[in-house]
Amino acid sequence: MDADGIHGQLDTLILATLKRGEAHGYAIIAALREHSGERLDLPSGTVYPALRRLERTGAISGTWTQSSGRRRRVYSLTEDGLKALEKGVADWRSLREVMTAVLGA
Amino acid sequence: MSDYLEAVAAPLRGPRRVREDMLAEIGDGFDEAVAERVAAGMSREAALDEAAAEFGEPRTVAAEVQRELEASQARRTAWTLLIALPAMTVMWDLFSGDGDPGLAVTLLARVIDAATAVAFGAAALVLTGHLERRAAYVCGLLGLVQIAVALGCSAVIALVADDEGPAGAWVVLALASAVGTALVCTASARALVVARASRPRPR
Repeated sequence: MDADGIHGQLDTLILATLKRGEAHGYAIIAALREHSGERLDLPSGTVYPALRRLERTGAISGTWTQSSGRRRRVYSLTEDGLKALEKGVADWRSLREVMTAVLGA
Repeated sequence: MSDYLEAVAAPLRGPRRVREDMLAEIGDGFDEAVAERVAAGMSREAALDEAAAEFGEPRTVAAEVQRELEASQARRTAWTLLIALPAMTVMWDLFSGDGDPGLAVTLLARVIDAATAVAFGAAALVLTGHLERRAAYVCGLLGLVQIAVALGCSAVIALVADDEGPAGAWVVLALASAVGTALVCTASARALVVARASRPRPR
């Protein structure tokens, strides 16, 4: 699935990934690929601005860390992010039901 | 900096610290993507090409980064408007004397107050998250309009005002207004530059 196919769902996917535990940008990208069975064909560079957007809205929090001589920003899910994830999942289920109903009609 | 990161960085405009932080993050991820491939036995050249393909078209990534830079600049300009405009208004109220300034001066002062209220209101909407679309442009434009209105009306007030106010008041007002004007103008101009860089470009 390419970037257009997951339009509007990237935030939910990132939040779901961070629900498993805190992670830095490239680890989140790797997890998205792994959990999608390598079917998610997303330009990795666009995940970083998405992380900043989620941080700006308070859904995740980011802190710079130093590990193995590398300065990295590590993200974790906030309470607001957990609520946004639940809403994203509910919205997705609702959309899926609508799609299934219409396509199956 | 890799060629890829340079291509992403080239069109970006916005707060330097935020820009550098975002590029550092993307650069770190890109380096990791290259290192993974080199560790798997790929040549460095091929690894760089494949990592660039994985990260996406530099202009696509830059457009997403620019959107965040625009949001960041909008908030900075909004904070400047939110603090500087009321501060300048309070200064005028404190130092402009207690006497009746006359109808013309009162009307001109109300015009300045109206321009201030509009810019202040827009800044408050941006900071509370109620105004996101073209936030930097709106803040920049209204900031400059407020300054233009304030300077124009103040010039006329200085010409027609009878009341000299307390001794030294005009010196304090002029200095405070100059500092406030410089702050608002700089922040507003930056917002307009960033907003211009954030406009979608035809492919």
